[in-house]
Amino acid sequence: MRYALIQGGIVANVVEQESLPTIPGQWVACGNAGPGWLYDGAHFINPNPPVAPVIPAWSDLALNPEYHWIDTGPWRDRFGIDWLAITSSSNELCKAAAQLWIDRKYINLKDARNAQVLDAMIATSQPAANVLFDGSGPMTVDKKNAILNPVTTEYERHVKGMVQPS
Amino acid sequence: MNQGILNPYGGGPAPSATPIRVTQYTSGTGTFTPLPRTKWIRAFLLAGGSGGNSTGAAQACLGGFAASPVVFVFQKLEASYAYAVGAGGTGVSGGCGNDGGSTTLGTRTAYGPKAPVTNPTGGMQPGESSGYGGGGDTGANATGFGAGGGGTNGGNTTGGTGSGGLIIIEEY
Repeated sequence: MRYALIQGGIVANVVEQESLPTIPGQWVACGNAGPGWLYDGAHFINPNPPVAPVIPAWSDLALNPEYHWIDTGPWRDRFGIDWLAITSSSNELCKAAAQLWIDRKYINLKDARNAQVLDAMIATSQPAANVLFDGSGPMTVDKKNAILNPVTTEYERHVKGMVQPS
Repeated sequence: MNQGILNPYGGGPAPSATPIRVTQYTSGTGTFTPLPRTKWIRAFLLAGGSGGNSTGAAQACLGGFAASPVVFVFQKLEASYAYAVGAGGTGVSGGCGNDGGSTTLGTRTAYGPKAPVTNPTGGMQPGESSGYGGGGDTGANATGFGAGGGGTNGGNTTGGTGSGGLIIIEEY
């Protein structure tokens, strides 16, 4: 059991032993309390109480921009089968898009160039459907919105260990 | 030339002297009573390690710090000395860990290390090893003596507890 030595209402020291310490001083069983805690005669009070974690919100305008950085693999996954149609296309726009997105450490979903390229694909009906990749076809507004959805997952994000916003 | 057990350069036992008794305390409090023929005491004091941090909001949580050993050499002037072996600081759920308990022998103190008060980025951190004990891995308790508990995060799990202190007393 942990025992605290109380001096002036403050935990001066903590020891661990089976019975109440016999050396002089006010010793009180203290549970998880540690040096520096306050003692009011009955309760131990943490002078630095745990702070409830702040859960960020996707709607927060000041949200850490790193939430919108995703690894290139998950970025490609967002295109589905269309990614294969883009990378196998001889179309100049598709080649430029692949050049823009391949071999980066991460993709910033908020980077305006991404929307610009996707809008160009919509306007030119690229990538063209490829018979090798069943279901592939031109970019659409719905596809673009899904690809640029700012809500990311821990798996997708380039920076790991961030609290998932609500 | 026989120089006895006294160190001619600074008092206390000579470096090569053999103690007449060695006593070790690994926890708790009590009273140490030297042998009647003891002249000098060399005491090794190690405080408890501090507890690891924990929070669900930070990207990483620092592990507890290790205690630093202190050696006191003094002449036996009292018939007995109260001792207290500092406990390791406990980890706290959703906050900073607790400081390590101090280890004392009479009026001599090896102070316990403070718990970390900030959390860095870059992953959860293990506790600091003391040389006499291993720091706890993520969220785990430290082992041995005087080492720090591991930091943790995610769901406000509790940081690891530091390991307790140690006293080794040599009598000359």
